[in-house]
Amino acid sequence: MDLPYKSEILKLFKEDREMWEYDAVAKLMDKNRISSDYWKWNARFWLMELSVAGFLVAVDTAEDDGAHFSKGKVLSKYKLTERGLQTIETMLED
Amino acid sequence: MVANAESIAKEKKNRIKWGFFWAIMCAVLWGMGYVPLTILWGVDPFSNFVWFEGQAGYLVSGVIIAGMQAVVFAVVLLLFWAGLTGKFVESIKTFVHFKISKWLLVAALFGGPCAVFGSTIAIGYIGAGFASAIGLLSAVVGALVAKLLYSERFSKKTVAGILLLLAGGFIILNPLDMINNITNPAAPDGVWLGYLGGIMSAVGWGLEGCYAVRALDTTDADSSLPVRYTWEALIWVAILFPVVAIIAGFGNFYEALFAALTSSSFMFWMVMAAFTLGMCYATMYKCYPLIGVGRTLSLTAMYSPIAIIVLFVFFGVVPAYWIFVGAIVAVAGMFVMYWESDSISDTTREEV
Repeated sequence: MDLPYKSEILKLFKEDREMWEYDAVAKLMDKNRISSDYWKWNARFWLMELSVAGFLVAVDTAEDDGAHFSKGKVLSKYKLTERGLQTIETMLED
Repeated sequence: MVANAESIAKEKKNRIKWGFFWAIMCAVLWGMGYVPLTILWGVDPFSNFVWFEGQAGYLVSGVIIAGMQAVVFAVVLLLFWAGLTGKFVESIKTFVHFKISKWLLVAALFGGPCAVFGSTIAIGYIGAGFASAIGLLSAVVGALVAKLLYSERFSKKTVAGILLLLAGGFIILNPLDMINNITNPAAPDGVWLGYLGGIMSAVGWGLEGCYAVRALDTTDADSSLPVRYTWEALIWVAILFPVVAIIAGFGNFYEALFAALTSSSFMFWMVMAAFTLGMCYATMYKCYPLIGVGRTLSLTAMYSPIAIIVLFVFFGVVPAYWIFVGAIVAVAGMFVMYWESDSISDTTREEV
């Protein structure tokens, strides 16, 4: 069975160590064939939770002009941390 | 266009604001939950517990109530909360992946048989006011263990807060009165178990949070909660019920359980408990990743004064004054510990 979405989005960072949040979200949604706004915002929230937990770190920011989430929102570019990589390797891979 | 510092600060404030909101919601629901929990002891079949007497009666009642709580909560939360948030499938995925799920199993062990059962016993032997107040000490346990396991940040304020909390706990326990209660020949048999239950609840809830966050790191809060309760329900039904039944008398135990299952007032109040206490867990789990275990426990500490007020409003119960005083001191301790929202940094854990 697939991993929960939040784990999957973290795992995406193992291949692509640095990603803008909207790219990571888009990849997750493509991979799982989901498209609703509800999951898009959830995914964005999970990325924030992952960075609070220390698995991702924001290395750049930009302002959303409305093309990605909504106007005025802060877009972050996330990078996988050591701790994040450890978590992927111990918990999310067989 | 690079985001300006203002937007970033605004988003962080927003995240903190939501963390506080969920924590307060949790406190209100948790406090209100003590009403159904108290009523459960007073309805059929526990109002007239014919299967066991005295101490054994209390303990078996506690086991059945705590165990049924887990089962009903698991069902209600899975269908109602996971269903409502569209995360039913996410819950299944979480459960199935044992490397994630095992942390919720550990959390369930501490939160259920340790904390909830301890609290249930404390309610039964001593009273809901005491049980709610002593649970506050879980913040001390949670903070210390979180420090050990995750190097969650501590500060001078934290230490001061912990000392206040311990002072509050000391007042709640009221050692002179406690010794009196335990040694008084007229007191109900085994009242010391009520105090032990209170301590168990503090240890259990503190540890539960520390282990639940390991799962919450990799899966959604709304999905984690039904999984945690499902594990707890399995622990009770598959392991603890049979063990207690063997010790207490197989036939009698399962007759008592059946009586509880078929008592409509019991089941009604259990569902009410699920919508208060169970839902408070949902809000609490949403909080942990936002503002950390220690801060969450500190804000949700408001559940204790709320419980005391609610118990007064619904039952006219006025707790012993020292319980109220101790609760206020403990809650003040928690606010001292964590009221530094301006300095809440970007992560809740030390940089690696």
